[in-house]
Formats: sequence, structure tokens, C-alpha cells
Amino acid sequence: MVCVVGDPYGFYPEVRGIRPPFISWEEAAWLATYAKAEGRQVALLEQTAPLLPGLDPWAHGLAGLVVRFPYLELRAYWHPWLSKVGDPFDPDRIRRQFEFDLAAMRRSEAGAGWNSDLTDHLVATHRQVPLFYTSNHPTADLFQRLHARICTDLAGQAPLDPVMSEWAQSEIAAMGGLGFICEHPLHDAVIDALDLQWAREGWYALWQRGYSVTAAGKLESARSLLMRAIEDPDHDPHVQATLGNVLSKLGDRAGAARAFGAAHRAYPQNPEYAKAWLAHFVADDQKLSARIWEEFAARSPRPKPESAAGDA
Amino acid sequence: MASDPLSELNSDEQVPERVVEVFRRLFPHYTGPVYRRLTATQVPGWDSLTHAELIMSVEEVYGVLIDPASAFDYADLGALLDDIRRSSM
Repeated sequence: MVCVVGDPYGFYPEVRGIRPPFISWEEAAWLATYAKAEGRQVALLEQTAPLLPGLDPWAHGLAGLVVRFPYLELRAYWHPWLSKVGDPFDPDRIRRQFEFDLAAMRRSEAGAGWNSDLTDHLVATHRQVPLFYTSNHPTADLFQRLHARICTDLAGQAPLDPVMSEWAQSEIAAMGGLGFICEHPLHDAVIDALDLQWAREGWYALWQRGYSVTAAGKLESARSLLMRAIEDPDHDPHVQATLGNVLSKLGDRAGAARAFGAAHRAYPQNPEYAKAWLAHFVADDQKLSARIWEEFAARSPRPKPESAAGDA
Repeated sequence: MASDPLSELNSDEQVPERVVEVFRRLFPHYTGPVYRRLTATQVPGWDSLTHAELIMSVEEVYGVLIDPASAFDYADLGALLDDIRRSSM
């Protein structure tokens, strides 16, 4: 069983469909005590952050095994955060933020008692391969390394269930696409400032350019670029959502419905895609709309009456 | 204002008003005093991103650049100001 304990973590379980049990420290202490009394192993995986001192010794005392692992975050990739600090598209500012990101990751790794392997790997490869879906969600490449190191550290303290070490690795490796949490491509300025070669190739580059010209109101150009992007069999379904928006603005409701439908089927956890698909699919048929919404509601997990999860 | 803008960083006690202004802008939910021994754990919203913003903003105020490699070694706000002062030398 895996639990997430304490602040500042939070999830959006009702809309995202994922939810590790979120518990308080009091509940964690009770669970750990109970599990140990039952003869079970209790491991505490502590995520280290660059500016936080880490857990108190009493928290470590709850578990038989303690492994620290670093918080990985690349803020420079997604520009909305940079808008807080002057010109968000200033290449020097983006590169400077990237340097601070690297320093923060190195500090997190040091706080976990690790060397800088992950940060060094990022520095060496970030131009060639995507390493983050969002600013704090690493792709499979980085995630596998993170997981392998955690398993190594755990195995150094106790025999490790092969399910955790082997099966999980293959599950991570099988993660395809961008995942439902990544909804828009990187900005041109970020790609240029950091010289991200991987973002200049194939369907991603077409998506990125299509997204960019959509924002500039050049819808016909956007449609052309995005149609080419979805011809690539490896394209991520997020492209379909961008295309859906463009087709909708161009008045092609049926085409938009098809595109949003493809995005929704690929990422059913994303409520925006479901809503967009539904809005275009049912058109003005209110009865059909009501029936489909009822179906959605019946399938959706119901929120707990007293949710302990806060928003991150 | 002093003739050498960086001279205001020499105080072992005071945080220069221009830094306080930056601090108030970045951490609007913090209403306590801004002093040199202030740390991230005492200020709501002082995370790795706002830390970088704080440094970049103070760099702009004084026209200096610090080495990002040391950016997360500061024990408190005073250590950041000391590094800004050293970077100008």
C-alpha cells in the first residue's frame, strides 16, 4: 500500500481519476504502528526539496526503512510561471531559470544523499530527448532512473519484492505519449533559448507550430500543420485536442467532434476533452446531451464527503 | 540613496528597502518583518521557483549576477544579500 502523507501534496482525484490515499501524519503513525505490529515492513520514501529541511527524526522512526529521493522540477520549460518575472520570453531569463532549475535539482539530489546523476543526465540529454511532461512530471526516461535508484537504496536495507523493482520498471517503460497531464507544447522561445532539438522534429514540431499559429489567429495554417501532425502514427492525442479547437473555430463542428473524440478516448481522465467532445458531438440535441452527462456522472468516481486532499 | 548602491548591503542588521519591496511583491501573503535571518520555512510561498525569482529580482536591483550553483546554499535572506555583495566585487 502506498500513501501520500502530509502537506503540501495534493491531488485532483475527482477529475483526474488518480488518487493515492492521502492521509495525515496521525493516520500515518497509526497505520505504521499497526502494520509493524502485524509483522509487516514499513518503508518511508521521503521526497527532498531544495529549501526544506526534511522530516523530523520522529517521522523516520515510524518506518523500518527510510529512503530519500529528490524532487525533480524544470520550471523553465513552461513559460506561464516565468510571466511573474518580467518578460517571459526573454531568452536570457529562460536560460537563467534553467540554471536555477538545475541548481535546485542538484540540491534536492544532495539532500537525498545522492550524487548528481539525474541532473547530470538531464544536462547531457535534454536537447535530444524530452525529459518532462510538465514542470514537475518527468518522462519515462528520467522516471525509470529515479525509480531504479530508489529500488537500489531500498534493496540495500531489506530484500525487495521483485514486483516493485522489475514490474514497475517495465510499466514505466511502457508509458507512452505525453500522458493526460501535458496539454500544450513548449513555447517557441523556450525551444529556441534552450536549443531543444527534440522539439523541432516530427509531429511535436508540427503540433508546436500549429499551437503557436493558433494563438496568433492563423487558423487555416494551424489546421494544415495539425492535420500533418496527426498523419504521423506516433503523434500524441493532445494534438487532436488542439486540432479540435481549431476546427471548432473554423466552424467544422463534425471535424472538431472527431478530433476531440480521439483526444477523449486516449485520455479519458481529462475532463476538458470529454466536455469538448460532448459539446461538439451532440450539437444542439439537449436530450442526447443530458443522457450522455448522466452516463458520465454514473461512471465518474464520487468524491468523498470529507476529502482530506488539498490542492497543490 | 547611497552613491554606491551596493553599500546598502553592508549592514549586518538591515535589509535594504529596495529588497524589502521585492520581497513584499513576491510574497504578498507574508506580513511579518523582513530581516536578514528570515528563512524559506518562515514565509508562505517561498519555494524553489520564488527563490529563483527573488534572486533574479535582487540581481536586477543591483545589476549583478550570482552563480546559480550557490543559489540553494543560503541559510537565510542575509546570506543571499552577502552573496550579491560578493558578486559585485
